[in-house]
Amino acid sequence: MSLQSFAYFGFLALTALLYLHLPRRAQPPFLLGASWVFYAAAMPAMMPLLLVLCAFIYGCGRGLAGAHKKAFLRLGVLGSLAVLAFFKYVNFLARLLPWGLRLPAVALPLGISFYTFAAISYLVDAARGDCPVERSFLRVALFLSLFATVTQGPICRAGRLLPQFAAEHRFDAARCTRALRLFALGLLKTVAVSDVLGVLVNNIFAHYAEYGGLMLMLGAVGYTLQLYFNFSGYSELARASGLFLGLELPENFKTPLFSTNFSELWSRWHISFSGWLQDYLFTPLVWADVEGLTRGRLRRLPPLLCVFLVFFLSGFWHGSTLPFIIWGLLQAIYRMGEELLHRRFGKPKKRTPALRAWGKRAVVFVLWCIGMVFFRAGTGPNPQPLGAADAVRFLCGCVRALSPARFAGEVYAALYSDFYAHSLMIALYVLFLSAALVFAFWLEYRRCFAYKNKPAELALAAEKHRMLLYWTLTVFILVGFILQSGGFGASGFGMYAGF
Amino acid sequence: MKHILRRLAVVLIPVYGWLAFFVAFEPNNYFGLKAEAGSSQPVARVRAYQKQPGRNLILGDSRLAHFDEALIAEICGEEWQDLAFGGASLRETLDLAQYVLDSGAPVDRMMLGVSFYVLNAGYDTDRFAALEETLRNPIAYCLNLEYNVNALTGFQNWLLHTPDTVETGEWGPQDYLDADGAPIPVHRILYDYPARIAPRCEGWALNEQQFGRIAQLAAQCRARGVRLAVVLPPMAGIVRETVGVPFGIEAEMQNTVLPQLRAWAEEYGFALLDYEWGGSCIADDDAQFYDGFHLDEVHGLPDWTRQLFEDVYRPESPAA
Repeated sequence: MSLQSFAYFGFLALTALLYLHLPRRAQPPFLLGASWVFYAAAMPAMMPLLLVLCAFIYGCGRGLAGAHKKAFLRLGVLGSLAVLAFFKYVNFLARLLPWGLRLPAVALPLGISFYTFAAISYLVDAARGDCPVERSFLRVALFLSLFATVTQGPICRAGRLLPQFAAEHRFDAARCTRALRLFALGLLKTVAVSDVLGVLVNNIFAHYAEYGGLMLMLGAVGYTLQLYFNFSGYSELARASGLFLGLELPENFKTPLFSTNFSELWSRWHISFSGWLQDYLFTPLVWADVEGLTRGRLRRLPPLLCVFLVFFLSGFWHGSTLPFIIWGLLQAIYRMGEELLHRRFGKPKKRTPALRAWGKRAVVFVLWCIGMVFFRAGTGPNPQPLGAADAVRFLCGCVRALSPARFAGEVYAALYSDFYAHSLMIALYVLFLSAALVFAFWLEYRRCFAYKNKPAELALAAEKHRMLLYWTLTVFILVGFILQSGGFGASGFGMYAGF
Repeated sequence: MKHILRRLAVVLIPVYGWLAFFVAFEPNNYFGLKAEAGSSQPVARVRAYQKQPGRNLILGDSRLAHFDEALIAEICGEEWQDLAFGGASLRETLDLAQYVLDSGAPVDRMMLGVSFYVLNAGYDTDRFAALEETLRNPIAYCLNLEYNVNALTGFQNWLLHTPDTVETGEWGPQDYLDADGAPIPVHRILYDYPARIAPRCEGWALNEQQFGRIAQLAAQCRARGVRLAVVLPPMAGIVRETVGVPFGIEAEMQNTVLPQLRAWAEEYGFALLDYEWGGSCIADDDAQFYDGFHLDEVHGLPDWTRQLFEDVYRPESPAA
């Protein structure tokens, strides 16, 4: 069940209600049971894998406290990565088999990347002494399987989450209010913005060869916004779910689309993942002693090379196909390009004139959208999968046939199908989507500039005329649900759940 | 907690407003608060059946969806409940028939509408699962986009006092001219109809799987003592001539489908009433058909209703 489904609302309410009234000792096993029920309902076939991984990580963790610490660390990390790599790349490798051999496709376990990364971070942190080795299998399993985070993150750190499982959680009105605000914000982003935007964006990508430049630009920008609002909204729903249970989960997005450079963007986009890359990939790479490997030529790898490797591998993690690799390379080029510019012209001043700052934001946004076209080519949904060549053709198409009249006609034609086969319906769709985007961006703007990226629910709580804002949220969420018929019949999780 | 719930109740005021509007203007009488549904959509029909299950049921697509139930009662002295809905595929009609048989309510007679159009393998929509979801789950119904748009339309009609649409025509001279102004032999809506359905019928092939389910349904009906009538409703001659014959549909129907239906009728003891390929009382297509498939509700449908139900209730009919 998706976090934005009515089934989940009922599940969360019931789980929280029972959980907060249980004795302290009963809370972790109850929450673990609920998490396993959640996962089993979503993907029963992969439940054994999750259970085995929990046991494996627990065992390796306990081994870290013994004499063979390094061996258990290597076993745990490499074993987890091996399982992840198998599921992520087995279908790709199967296509390369010789003599026309074909293997049945293997489904990607739901959330495998997220719980694998959480597992690796626990083992490394425990080995480094940043968090104690957890002696309770129950808590390790709960850390990996928590229903709020197992499908799409955020990737939690053991040192911050595990102690929370040991504490007692009771109902707290202020925390519950925070959770409700955050949940509403998450629903606005997923239901009223991302899902509605997806109707148009999916059509543009499916028929991109027929469209003019303005329509393709709309597709690129539209997809960027669709992914952002879906992923950030889903993360907010996950955090809100944690808050209902008395758990503080990490923030995952801090208005990244207002970033003035890519270093800043990556510190504000998918924060739990970029932080994980920073701590468990970039830092070890930068500090690695490569004297032996390079026969004395280098003691350490150049930081720029490490930046390149991190982003390249990040692209590769998202998918084994060329569009993802290109996306990763583009991110690497953007970051490296920025570093080189800083070396040449100096780092940007903290106080930049507003016009220049907005100019930089626009440049970053455009470059980000270009990368997103490759990202979208790698993901779908499409009747036929798109490749890197399609993404290049898409981008080249953005500078042709820029007639506004053609654009208006194409938007109309793109929406004129199924239930929108009526001018009035199309007009209402465009009106609603525009209004939802304006409202969502206004909230982002206020959070970023008025409240200096405080947590979203706290920024909302500080606004004037809050009841008016709540009613606006309610109306947008309600209409968003109606536009997708309540989501009944839909089976998907968030757009990032397939990684 | 009470404070939170009170505030939440205030925050949800727009939801109450929408719900009240929706319940007031939704045309399917889902909540049973109105005397009857103003719509012939499947959810309205099935909801009415759930509320008050009839014992004599009509199932099929739009060609059987506009009967005057009072006229039927006058002809045969019994109440019939019309569960037919526009756009129903054969699969959906059979799914509904199964739903009715599985519901546990007693059924005396069942009339199943079949035609070459729904027997087409290329027309095999499957929306019954979604329909069951909305029947089972009021939230799914209330949040359904189509029904919300229907509620808005209902509100608009109420505001503007728009009368109910009846498919009938008092055709004037302008109705006998084509797009270029040239005279045509029948009114324009009928004349243009074959061109409307031709794209769907061009690659016509029998939907073997759904066709086979008719026999299964017949067997079930016989086992439960339900008197079944399989009815092929009338179609205008222009459709037969310009679609049925050129696309090989008539040949397939006459050589394969109808003989098989007759064989099953013999085997399972149901009435087969074919008005599509001849035998209907409709003598003047132009006056009595609204379009190629649908009878004029004033000038044609009542005549055929009388013929149909008299045939169903003939003493020698297995459906009687």
